[in-house]
Amino acid sequence: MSEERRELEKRIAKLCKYIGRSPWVFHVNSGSCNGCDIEIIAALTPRYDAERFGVKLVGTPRHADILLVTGPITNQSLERVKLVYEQTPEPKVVMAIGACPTGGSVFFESPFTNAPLDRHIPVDVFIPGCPPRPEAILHGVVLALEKLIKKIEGEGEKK
Amino acid sequence: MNLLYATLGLIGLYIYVSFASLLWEGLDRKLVARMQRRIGPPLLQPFYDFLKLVSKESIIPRHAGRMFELAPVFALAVSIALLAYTPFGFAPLFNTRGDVIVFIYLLTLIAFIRVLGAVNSGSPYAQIGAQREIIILVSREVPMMLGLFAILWRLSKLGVSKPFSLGTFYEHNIWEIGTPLTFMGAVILLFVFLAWLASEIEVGYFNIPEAEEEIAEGPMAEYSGRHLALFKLSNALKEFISASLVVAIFFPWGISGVLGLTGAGAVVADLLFHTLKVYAVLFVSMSVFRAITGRLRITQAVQVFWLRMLPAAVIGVLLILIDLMEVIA
Repeated sequence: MSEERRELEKRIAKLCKYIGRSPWVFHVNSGSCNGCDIEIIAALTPRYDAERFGVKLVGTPRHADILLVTGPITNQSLERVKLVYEQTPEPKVVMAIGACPTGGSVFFESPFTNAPLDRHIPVDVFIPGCPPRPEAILHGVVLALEKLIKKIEGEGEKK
Repeated sequence: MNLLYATLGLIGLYIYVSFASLLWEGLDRKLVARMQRRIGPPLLQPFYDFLKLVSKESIIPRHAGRMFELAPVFALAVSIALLAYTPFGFAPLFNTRGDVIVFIYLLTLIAFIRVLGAVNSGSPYAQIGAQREIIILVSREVPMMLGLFAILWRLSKLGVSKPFSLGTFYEHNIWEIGTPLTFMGAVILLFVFLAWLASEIEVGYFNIPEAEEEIAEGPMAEYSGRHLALFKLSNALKEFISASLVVAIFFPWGISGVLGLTGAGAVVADLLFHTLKVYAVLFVSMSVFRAITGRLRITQAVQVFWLRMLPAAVIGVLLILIDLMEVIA
């Protein structure tokens, strides 16, 4: 059984490589000031053209591979962020965009926000900056995908 | 034996059309990107998307019904069945008298199955999308059916072997009647059919049921992984099939006669030429339309069909009718 399973997992790992070819991103706003959101949109505009790597902004977490979380996770949005994380199918990557989900930024130690994000859901890549430049976001996507593929391949060989 | 060959042909067509339609999606994304001065994704992007979706986890929501899981399979099965009744540069594989009704029925059934799956998913976004899909479905089919039946009826007057079949377009076509009134009527109906095609594949003005920004991709909102991949494939097939109908009605000319080919070579040449024509029609009705227009509200889209397209279709059909009755000139 283990032989069969190893074979199967190797094939799944090979298939999952296509995630690197078509990462679909979903944008979660957890009380952000819209600075980072505009920078995410800037990364998709003709100037930077993230679509040439197959990146597509989707409208529902069910279709997403990458979650882009912006904002300091206010008390109202905390449950929603967790819900969206659970709704995203595996394998997935979470990216915290901007200073707010990374460390709280100007809302540091505020009782109404819940930064940093990795206290609540697992985060793969932090992109600091207030707001980060579109190049930084694209670089973060590349790092996140490398990490994801390493994770999938590592799991496929270990078991 | 004949049935065996037809079945093998259907499987071959299925494989070919899957590739051709997914390749078109890649071409479309590239062309729209170039129109917006972007570089755009690689040509094979839809294949990567499809393979990725197949390899991902498929989540079934807690409130979803049985139909949620079955709908993608049914939708793909209906698309494959539809291939047997679609003209691809040659008469359809299971070409019979009156098969146009089966064709329209199966084409509508795909949208209906999408609605069933969406309603069963239990998501409010999907249900809004399903409502919009049904509303636009009943609006767009009326002018299309009026035009299609009128043209087929006119062609059956010319003496064809199987009246009201989609194969008749390869015996006679609407342009060869040649009188000015029929020509005008055919041009008006071509316009109606291009608008119908744009709404059938839901782009530009008519991207209403799957409005990504408003209602989270509508009927597809709860689908993920394998189920979504099956829907994407059946949608790509439906795009190709709908465009094939427009090409067969208005541009049925083959290339095999010009090249002097016969037998299997003629079939392959006609199929490839037909694919090129389908790409040209989709370029006008999908890529350009998608790049230059935004989305309408659902009420506006219904008005476009009932108040603009239906009168246009009626005028086109009346012109063809008046010409046949020889009242004028």
